[in-house]
Amino acid sequence: MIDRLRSADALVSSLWEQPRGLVSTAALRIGLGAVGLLYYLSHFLERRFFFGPDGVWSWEVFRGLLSDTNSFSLYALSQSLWWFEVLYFLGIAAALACITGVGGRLGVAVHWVMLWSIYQRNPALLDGGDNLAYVLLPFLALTASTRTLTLWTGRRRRQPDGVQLGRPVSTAAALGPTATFIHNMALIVIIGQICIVYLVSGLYKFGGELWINGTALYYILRTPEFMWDPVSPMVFTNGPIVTLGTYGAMFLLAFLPLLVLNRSTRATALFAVMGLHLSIAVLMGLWGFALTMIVCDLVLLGDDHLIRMGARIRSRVLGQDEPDTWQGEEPEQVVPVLAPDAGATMSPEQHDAQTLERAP
Amino acid sequence: VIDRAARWRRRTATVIASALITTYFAAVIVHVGPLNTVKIRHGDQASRVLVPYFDQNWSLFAPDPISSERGILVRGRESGTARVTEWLDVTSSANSDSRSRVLLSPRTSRIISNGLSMYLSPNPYRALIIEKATAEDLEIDESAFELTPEEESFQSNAVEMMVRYASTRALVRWGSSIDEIQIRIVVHDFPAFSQRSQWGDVGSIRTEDLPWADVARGVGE
Repeated sequence: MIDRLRSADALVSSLWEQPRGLVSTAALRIGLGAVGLLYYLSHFLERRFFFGPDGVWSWEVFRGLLSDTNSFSLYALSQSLWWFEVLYFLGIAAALACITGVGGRLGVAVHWVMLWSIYQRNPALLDGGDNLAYVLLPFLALTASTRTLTLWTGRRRRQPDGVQLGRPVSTAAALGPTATFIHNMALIVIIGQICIVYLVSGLYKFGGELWINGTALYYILRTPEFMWDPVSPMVFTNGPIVTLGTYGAMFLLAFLPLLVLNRSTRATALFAVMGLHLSIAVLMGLWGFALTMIVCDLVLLGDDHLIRMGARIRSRVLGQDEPDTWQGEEPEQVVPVLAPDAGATMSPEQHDAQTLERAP
Repeated sequence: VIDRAARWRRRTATVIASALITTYFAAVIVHVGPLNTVKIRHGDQASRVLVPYFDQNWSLFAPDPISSERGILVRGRESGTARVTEWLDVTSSANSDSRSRVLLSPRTSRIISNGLSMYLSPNPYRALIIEKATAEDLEIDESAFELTPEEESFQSNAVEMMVRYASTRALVRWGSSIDEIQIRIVVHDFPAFSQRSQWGDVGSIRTEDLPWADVARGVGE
């Protein structure tokens, strides 16, 4: 009994002292910011047609639905065209703030307000990806998602005591206990919410005749709205692919929470489901939905994997050393004089020397 | 190291937060879960917790995906004259709009696909129950087919959106002399999986003509 109380207490103190998933939440912030930005940019040229005061979703219908659902939209405050334009551009700015981490939690919260407002302005355009985005953003705003992977930390990593891209700042000291606690609790909600999406969307398919008889994929890909003409027919006319794909998707989605819970199957399952979402993007053209889901998959993947992936990408693409091996001591000849980002591989002394040299 | 009082504050806060999170997830599970006895009893409470800001629905392509091609055509006329235009397909162009720029395609096609979903099944639950009852040859009360005021406004919102979309296309196609348009809903049951090698063949087609409506001018200006 006392042992149990002790371990419960240990859990409590870890919730208050150990922020988890700082990289995951940062990735989610960048992803949901980017998906929001894509939404604004995709409709930029015809924004007045889709969302304007005289848009395709009429002003009266818009106002009526808002009062029916007891909801708000900043676009409802004025019917003037300039107000609409101002808000649309503010929405783009808020999405950029969310991506870059400018404004911290407030930036994320403002992005949610702007995105919610535009979603309400024309709810007929929305899909499951937007639904998940607006549900997760308020919780994301409670997390410390701007601790790493921001414009700020990007610059800081060149400083001697800074962090590597994809490496959280030394955490507990930087984040107070209350902020740590709120962060951890919000992260639990985010992960649980994503798992519910998988579980429910998977289980519902088991109730469908076309899913059970293994043909659902044919009907989905054959629908003109989701058909990529030369390519999709090659997929949906292939019987075995359709059957395997149909059953594969059902099982993968429904069992994903369990596969994620188990450390040894986590990464494999998540890369498989990311592959599923990538093919939804390419074949069906549902880029917004697919990217939202892929970002959520990254959250489930967790910090350890993300940091390792980040390091690998850095070493492959940027030719920089993996942070895991970086000790701050590099042999002098390794520092490439002409490399634009040489500071990242330098020891503190070298960095200081270069800074001094550059000083006027 | 923290003192006793702080430790108790942390314990209390953790318990309260855990209770809140449990409530949230319980509400989500009831809200997004299938219709069952718990949902019949507590569904409204769950909705009060979640709607509007955490409203969610995860029956994605489920229980069954739509197994037909749905679209709209439009034709126009000048009031007072007997001259009526031919039907114009405004669905294919919306679909290709939505595939035009890879990552940055506008969601034009949703105006039609989501509009038609709202119009054809304003309440999927009821549609499902009626479909089941019909399949089992049960006697259905006439009132089961009557729409609630919410469902009716859902439908009329959808129609208004489609009229506004179709109007812009009609005005571009036939000029501003058109003052009324009519929408024809087309549901095409394309060849089933067993005939997938002839997937491009025309299957059975059902149509429904909506009443003539005033053309909407100035949409998107």
